[in-house]
Amino acid sequence: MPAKVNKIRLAGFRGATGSVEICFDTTKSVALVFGENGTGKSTIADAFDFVCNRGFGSLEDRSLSGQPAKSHLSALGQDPRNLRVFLSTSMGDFSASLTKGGPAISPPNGCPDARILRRSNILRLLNAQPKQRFDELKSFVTVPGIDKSENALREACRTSEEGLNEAVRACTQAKGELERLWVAEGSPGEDALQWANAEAGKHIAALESLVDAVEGIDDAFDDAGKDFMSLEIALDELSAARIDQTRAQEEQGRIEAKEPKGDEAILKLLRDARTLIAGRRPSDCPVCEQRIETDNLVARLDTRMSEMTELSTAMTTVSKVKRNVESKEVVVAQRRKDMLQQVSELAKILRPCSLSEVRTLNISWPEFQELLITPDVTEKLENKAREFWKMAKPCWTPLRERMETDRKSIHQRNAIKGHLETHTEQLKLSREYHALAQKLQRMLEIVSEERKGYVEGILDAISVEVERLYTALHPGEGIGKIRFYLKRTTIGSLEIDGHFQNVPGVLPQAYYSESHLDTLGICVFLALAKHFRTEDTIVVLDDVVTSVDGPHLDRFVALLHSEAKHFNQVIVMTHYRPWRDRYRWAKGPAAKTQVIELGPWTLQSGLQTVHFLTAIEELKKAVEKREFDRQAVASKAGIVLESMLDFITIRYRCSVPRNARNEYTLGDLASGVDSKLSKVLCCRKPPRPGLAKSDVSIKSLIDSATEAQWVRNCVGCHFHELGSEVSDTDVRGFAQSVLALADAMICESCGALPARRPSGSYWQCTCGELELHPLVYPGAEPGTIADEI
Amino acid sequence: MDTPDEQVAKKILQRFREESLLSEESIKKLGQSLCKGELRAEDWRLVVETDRFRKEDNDAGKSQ
Repeated sequence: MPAKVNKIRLAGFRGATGSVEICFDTTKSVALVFGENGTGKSTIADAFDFVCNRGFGSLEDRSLSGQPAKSHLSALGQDPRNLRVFLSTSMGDFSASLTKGGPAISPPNGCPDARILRRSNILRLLNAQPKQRFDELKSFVTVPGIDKSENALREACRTSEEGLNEAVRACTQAKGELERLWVAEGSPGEDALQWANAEAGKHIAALESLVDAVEGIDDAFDDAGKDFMSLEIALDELSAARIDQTRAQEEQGRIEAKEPKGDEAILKLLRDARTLIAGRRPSDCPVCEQRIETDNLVARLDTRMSEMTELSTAMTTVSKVKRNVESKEVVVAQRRKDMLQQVSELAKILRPCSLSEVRTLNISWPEFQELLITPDVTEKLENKAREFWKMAKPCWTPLRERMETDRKSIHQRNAIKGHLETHTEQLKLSREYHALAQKLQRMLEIVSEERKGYVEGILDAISVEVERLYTALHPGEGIGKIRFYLKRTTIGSLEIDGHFQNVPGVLPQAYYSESHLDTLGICVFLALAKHFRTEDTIVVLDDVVTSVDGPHLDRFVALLHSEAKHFNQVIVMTHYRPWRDRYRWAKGPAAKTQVIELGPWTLQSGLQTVHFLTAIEELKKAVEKREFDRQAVASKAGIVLESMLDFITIRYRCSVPRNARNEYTLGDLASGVDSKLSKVLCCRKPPRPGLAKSDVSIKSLIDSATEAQWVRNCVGCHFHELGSEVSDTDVRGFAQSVLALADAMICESCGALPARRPSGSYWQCTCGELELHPLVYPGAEPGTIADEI
Repeated sequence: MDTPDEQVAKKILQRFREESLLSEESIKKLGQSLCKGELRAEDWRLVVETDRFRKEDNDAGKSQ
């Protein structure tokens, strides 16, 4: 079911300080919401944006000093929580409120798709730089899913290129290293790679084993050497300790000699006696068995020992250095054992060794047989070990040199192999990357071409449609042929050009007038909305027509009504009174248009709707009113009659007396429809069921109405004594005759006067059902399209 | 009716097919993700490389 909006109710939303409900007649293809500036038109358009698109409407286009648009959505001084927009549609009812997260719609899905055009959109579209212009139309012309995938593909191309570059770099670097090694080797063979392959193919297991063996010998030499060193240090330390011991003993002897009453043995005896007596406290001496006084004897022993302090100190020193010597002897014994062990290990390694450096030593192994078994620590063996060490040591340095040389060879070979492997791997990888990058690049070209092709297809289609619409609005004006296109080399940039005075390729924004740009923007919008319409699409134009002249407005209104059939509903906001009056005076298809008029806005009441009536409806209502207002009826009837006669006299270029102000009285206009025209003037009305179209002569209707025109002057316009003589019946009769003329000349179906000229013989109303004959004043030349005013 | 993304995706995949850029299996795999914008850079690489491995496997099988 196509989406149609029955009504929208606003409460606490923008200018709607109170609750206001606007009902839409879904049988009418266009709803015109007319209101002077500040009456709330944009509030209504914004309410559609809020409920249908979860948008913030015109606020999104305005600078709000950094504050979010949603904080200004609620009516002045009102709680945002009370903000409501209610939409009743043929698809169901929807209610929108404002939450912290933004607009909340209930139910969340199924709301009509409102395409809203504001003047700011037009300005942005036409005046913006190509990139901003593209952004403005992006939602229409992009394929977001494909865009994202294309960006990912572009990234894949980039990373593959990077991978390729990295592989090529690594490959080149490895080749460079091989060439450097090749040159260092004197550039043998044809080239570095060939040489490297040959080198890498060589078996170096034997060399590696040899290096391992030499490393074992080197370690054994190293260990034995360290142990020799440790032994020598230990021997030196023992020697020093013994010297210290000798000195301490000599010192003790010197002290003993100095003190004849005391020596080491006596001091020791005194110490033991004191310990025994102080401990056991015997009554008799254990040596002489004489009676003793314990305490006295202990005191005496202490006195005697104190007299031998120097000796005591010397004895302590001797004891200490003796322990040191004993300790060093233990260390020497261990070091000797270790040395013998290591030399024995060295001998065991060297014995079977066939290396020339060892062979040339000519070691007489039988002499060192004891070293080849688990050695006992003997002086003899130590001497053997020292002898062996002396014999073997000369081969250590040459062996080390051999080891370093061989190691270098192994390293070089490993380096060659490594670089060669890197070169091979990276070469393979770079080939794979190259193939990958090429394929991805081709895929990217295809994705890009198809996306651009799609977008350009839309732009071409839109350009054609814009041209059609624009030509209808501006026939024969030398402008148009608008073309939207993408620049091949620029992403997200939309170019526009057109014709001006038939010069192609000009920028419209540079040459077109403001009103021409306005209409161009509207045509672009309508073309886009039409191209992308769905059965949910409604179109809202928010005050997009500012000031256009009469002919352009008529063409625009006609175009809008013609295009309205492509959309479910067209809702137009305007402050432009001539547009609204087109419907009031039947100059537009009033019957197919619902005019909603907004009254003055006040803070207390907010938006207010005013009942709109066409001039004819207003006159009919006045005539039917029980409290008959004769003055109003006479006045309204006179004005309607003037508008009808104005229409006819202009259409047929009738002779009307001129005056300085270019104003015509009702009498002037009535006399303009002369007898020559009256005779042929007729309206051909739509056929009744079973009957052909019926012709209605206009002459009698004009005569009837104009004969009573004095009623308007006497009752409806001026104070006149004659007015009192005019009965209500006369006034009503005048109004009825005017209404009869209007009924004959205004199409019942579309509510418009026959102002279009589809053929060379008559005029036609908007819907084509009512015809006005003839096309021109009898005998006059056919006019031009410009007569359709 | 196809969405614009689906329309463009169909054309793209058809051209991949015509130019033998991807195997039918990979094209089928790409289909939905392509129009939904769910493909990442590594996904693009993966489909191409998977096709290459598959081809290499097939070639190796034939040579045996």
